Amino acid sequence: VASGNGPTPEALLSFYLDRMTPAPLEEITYRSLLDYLRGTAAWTGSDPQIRVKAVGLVHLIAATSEYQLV
Amino acid sequence: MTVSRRHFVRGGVAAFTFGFAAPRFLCDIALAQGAAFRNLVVLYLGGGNDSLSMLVPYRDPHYQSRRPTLAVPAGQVLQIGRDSGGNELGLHPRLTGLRSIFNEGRLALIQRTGYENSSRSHFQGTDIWSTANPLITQGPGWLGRYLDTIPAPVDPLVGWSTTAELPHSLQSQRVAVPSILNPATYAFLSPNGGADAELERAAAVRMSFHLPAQRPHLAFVNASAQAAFATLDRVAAVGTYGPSVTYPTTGFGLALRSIAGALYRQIGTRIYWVQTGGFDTHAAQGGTYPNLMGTLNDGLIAFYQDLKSNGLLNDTLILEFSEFGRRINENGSGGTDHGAGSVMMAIGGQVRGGIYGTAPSLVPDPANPTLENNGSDVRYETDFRSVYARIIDKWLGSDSAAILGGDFRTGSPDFI
Repeated sequence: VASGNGPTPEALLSFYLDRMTPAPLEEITYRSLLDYLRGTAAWTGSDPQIRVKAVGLVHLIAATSEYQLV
Repeated sequence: MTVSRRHFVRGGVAAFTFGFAAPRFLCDIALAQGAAFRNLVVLYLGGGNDSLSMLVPYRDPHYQSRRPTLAVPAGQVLQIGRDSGGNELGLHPRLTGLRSIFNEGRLALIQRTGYENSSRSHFQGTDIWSTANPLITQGPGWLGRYLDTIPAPVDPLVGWSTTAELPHSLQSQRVAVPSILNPATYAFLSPNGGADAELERAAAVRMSFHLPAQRPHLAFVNASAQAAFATLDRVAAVGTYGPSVTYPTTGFGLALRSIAGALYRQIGTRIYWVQTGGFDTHAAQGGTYPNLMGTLNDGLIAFYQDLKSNGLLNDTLILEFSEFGRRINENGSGGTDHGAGSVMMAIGGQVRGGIYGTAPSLVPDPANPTLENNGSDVRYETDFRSVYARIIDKWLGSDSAAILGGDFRTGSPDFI
């Protein structure tokens, strides 16, 4: 993912959801994760941006009840 | 670092706590529930405290003969007078702070507390003292059952354990009590910093407020996370507390410092749990016990003086217990083995200080009514549940018979 190919926030989220396999996400959970990725700065999909966002995203997914209770 | 799901769930509260402002309605609950109630600090001495070394019957002619190397010499005890049976008693020489509290009339020493057929097992004994039920030692603890009587919605910080794991006494059916070892580290942990950490917290907060009715297990986890959010700001305020005295840097001292901070900040907690261990003194007790008493004394006197300086003493009651006392005779390893009856202490601004109950006669006679196990152990005189009952009824303002599953008020020492 962090190869500089410029994935979209949706693609980055799908990538980690596929690998972490939580239960089906509630809509608000999904939107909250996307909102975190989009954040306040413009999304570029650059390697530096993804390095920051990916660890935060994994932390958040692991914190979701959908992940904890699978 | 790999984080398994089990690891995450077990460490969830610590690893996934949040720094956002508590929801207003939860703060209001805390203020409403905390404002009108007193505080109870329960102190557990882990391992089975040797009460005969803490509260010494130094004039008993058999005290020295049954403890030839461990007996505290009469000339060293801190004399505090006689009990109602005329027995002269003194505190361990390291308990100078407790004697000053005693002299102020704010320390109650309740002798020979226990129950019939006292367990000599740490696990079973602790469960019995936790549930207040010698027959059924599973299920919620006596403090947890008290918390269950508080009308919903219950403030998430109504209880606070300063230990890593929630003690059995605080386990309840519907109230989750947090274990907070250090207020300074009870914070949101993000792998990132700055604005990105704030974004992450915002997302976590939003997710926690979603309580899907059709997926109750998800709602349960989210509600727990939401409760954690509600505690953060208040716990953070505790972390910045500047005490009026210097606390010892022992784990026990620092735990008491945190509790003093929580009381000072009026965060609304009613029940606190603190403990210090090492009392299972099977060997070399002569070397270790003074240190145990020192830790206990230095922490408690700092806590007492801090509360007193801040005008919090009248709202606070400290109750000390251990799962059993120790055998009267010292063993071949310079220690003492598991016994039965022990001493409970109560400290506070509204405590009627003094010596309650009577000391055992240490005559090694199987017919000695103050002893049991063929004269080997101290027999209880005051059922520990009557002490609990007094606190539940007179301090917490609840119904001890309902919480303890029986009426233990008869013979309850009137220390409050």
